Amino acid sequence: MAHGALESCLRAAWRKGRALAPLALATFLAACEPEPTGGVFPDLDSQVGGGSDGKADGAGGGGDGGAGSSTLSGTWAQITEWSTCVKVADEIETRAWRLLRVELKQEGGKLHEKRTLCELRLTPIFGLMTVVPQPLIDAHPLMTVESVLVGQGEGAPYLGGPEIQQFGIAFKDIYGDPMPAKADVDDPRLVDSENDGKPGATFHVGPSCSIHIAQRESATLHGSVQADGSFRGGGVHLTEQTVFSSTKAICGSQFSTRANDGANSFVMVRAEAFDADKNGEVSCAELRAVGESIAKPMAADDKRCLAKP
Amino acid sequence: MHCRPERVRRAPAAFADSPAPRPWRCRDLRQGRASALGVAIALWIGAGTPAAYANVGDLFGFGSRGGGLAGAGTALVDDHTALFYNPAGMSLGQPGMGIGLSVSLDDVAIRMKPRPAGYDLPDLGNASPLIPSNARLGQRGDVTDIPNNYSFLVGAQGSFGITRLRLGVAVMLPFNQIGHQRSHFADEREQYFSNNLSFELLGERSEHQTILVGTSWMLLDGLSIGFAMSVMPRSDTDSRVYLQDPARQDLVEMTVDNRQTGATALQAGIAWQPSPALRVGAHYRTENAFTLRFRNEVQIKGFQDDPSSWPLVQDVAVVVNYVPAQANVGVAWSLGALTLVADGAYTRWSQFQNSAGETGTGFQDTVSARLGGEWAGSPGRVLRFGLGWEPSPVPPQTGRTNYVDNDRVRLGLGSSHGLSLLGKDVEIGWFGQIHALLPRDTDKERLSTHPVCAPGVKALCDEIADDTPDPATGKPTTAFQGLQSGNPGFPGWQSYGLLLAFGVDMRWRF
Repeated sequence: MAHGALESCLRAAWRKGRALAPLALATFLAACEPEPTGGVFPDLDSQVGGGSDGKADGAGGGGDGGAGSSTLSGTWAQITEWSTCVKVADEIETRAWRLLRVELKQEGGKLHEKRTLCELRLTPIFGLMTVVPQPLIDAHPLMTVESVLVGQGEGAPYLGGPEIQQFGIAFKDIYGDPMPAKADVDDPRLVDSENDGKPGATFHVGPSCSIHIAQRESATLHGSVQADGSFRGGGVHLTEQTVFSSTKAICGSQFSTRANDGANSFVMVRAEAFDADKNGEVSCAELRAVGESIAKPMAADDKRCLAKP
Repeated sequence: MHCRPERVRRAPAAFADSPAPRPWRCRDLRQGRASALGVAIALWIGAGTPAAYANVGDLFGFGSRGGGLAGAGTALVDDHTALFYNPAGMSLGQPGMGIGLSVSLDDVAIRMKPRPAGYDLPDLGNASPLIPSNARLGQRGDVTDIPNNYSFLVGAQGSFGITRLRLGVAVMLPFNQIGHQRSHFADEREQYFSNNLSFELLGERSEHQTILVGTSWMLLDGLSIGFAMSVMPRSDTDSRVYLQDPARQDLVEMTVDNRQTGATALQAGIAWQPSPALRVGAHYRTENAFTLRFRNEVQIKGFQDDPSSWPLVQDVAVVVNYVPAQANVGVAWSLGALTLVADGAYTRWSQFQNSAGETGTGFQDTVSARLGGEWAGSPGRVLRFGLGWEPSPVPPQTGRTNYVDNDRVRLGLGSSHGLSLLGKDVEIGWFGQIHALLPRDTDKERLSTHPVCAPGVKALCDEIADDTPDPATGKPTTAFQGLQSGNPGFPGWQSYGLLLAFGVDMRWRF
């Protein structure tokens, strides 16, 4: 009985519901898929606004002539790449890419070099990029280096003299003075390069952190003259650093590091061709414009730290 | 026991959806026991489950009667489902209980407009100022589905032998899963998560248990008031984290302290039947939401000398299933075999909290309307129909946020059939509903200069300021000129589609 009643009820509902069919149809139609449209933003040149990867293509080397010329005196562009292994759970690599302007004067086998630091880039550690402010780089003192070239022409060995790079401190004896300790914020050797009232130099770490440090980097280069007249080779490099304070603890953490000299490299090419304004003098600004075409910065690769010293 | 005369307590035949409406009789305690049993069963089913309010009922209605009327139940519905529409309505109906099932399906879509070239966050390797667009974990794309819902509804109302009193309970339980809470960001932050858009007020929002408990009291013949409450879960979690090595954030030690409580929303309603042919009702409910709060207290070795980060505290709030305050008025007018109903609702969407717990979303209060009717063309058979207009509270999304919602036209159909089963009046009902999401086309507004993203910025914003220096060199660069946006809603989208629901239920009158 119940089944029959339900059936007759459904039949009645259907008969009466047919009148509402146009309404149901209209409801369906109201939800119809619209014609696809585009937005109001045009495509941009892929080089503008971040469409590209932002990286410059690698290019060839520098100027005319080179180490095969009758004299090596003149202006050179030098790029060094230092590898450092940072000890955390495993070792990770961090790299420093430097561009220098070198005024070189040759006296037989002696090469008198006056190196000006033009640019310094560091690869990030744990995603945090350390940036050395350009004014600090610009204010870095000229570095005088006495190097040796044995012979001449392709394959001639090059042995660079010791070079000391220092930030936030002025040593009396740049080789022998000890580094200050973390607590030595009143050490008279410290230089507040930015006049920000903080001890030493201020580096920026990531988007929102700064560290106040004293740093000494000691290095020598060794290599040989290449067929194209450039110098290429490796180097020995050591960084000593004291972090006095930081705006946030996470960027002030000091980790154990070691030099990874097997992964160091340098290249030095004649720079006269980079005199863009043709004023007879090659400036750091002109070198920065072509620095990556001489030697692109290498990405850090932790595998380079697997080979223990 | 004193009993009211039968004539003042029975519902006029025109309003009774039962095939053989039996007037309230001043029954003995047997009736009270039966209705109490029904209430107890419903309570037992709901025991131990979190109760809530934002639910399938909000979208499609509670029970087959309200569902067939497209939700126009404020003045007319008088069984346990009145706890949802207007608890005062219980006094106008007979004690009884009911069970039912409902299913909601969808054919909706958010169709994304293709991203133009040149606006991505650039990939500068490790020096990228933000995670570049090509490193997203989630793939931006169209949304073509929202979760279906399968719900079980049980409820009862009884008098417990007190003629003017009704106590009721209604429980709606999804049975495909007990609940689903999913938070998302409505702006460019979502690119780091799903990287997609969501229908803001559909989908998971309605997928959780619902328990309504309430009472009504007949003040005068034909005039009753009612109150009900619903409870949303609330979860508070405090975690203490120890990080031995800041370089190994995958290695953590953590303890968790979780507390689950509830947040109550109240409802009040009034129902008045001034004549056998007319009923009016009004109903108000307060806002409620399911809130999850997390606090992480992180100790990182090496930070102990830095008071600003020892410990590091992270506070996160998630608000899901937000239900706005709402006021409803309704009228039902009997014209013999035909009863017409009309409902209006004012909903305070302007207080909306998004799932990140943020207010100030720009949502607008809405006024929605529902019209419906019942046709009792033959004894014991009632055909129902309804039409509703549900305007979207979401303003045009031409700026930074991507709230997706559409105006809806709502069509309901249903019927019921009365029969006698084991000496009891039984009614079997069904309903179906179609919601048309009127197509909406959204384009982000193109400005001559887009502001840099910052708190309070409403326009589509530039995620990397133009004067950002090259992170590797610290020098000015042109790489960040113009607009860089990973906002998943950029440059726009279209939303449209259909929601469908179907339900059946069976009700006993005691």
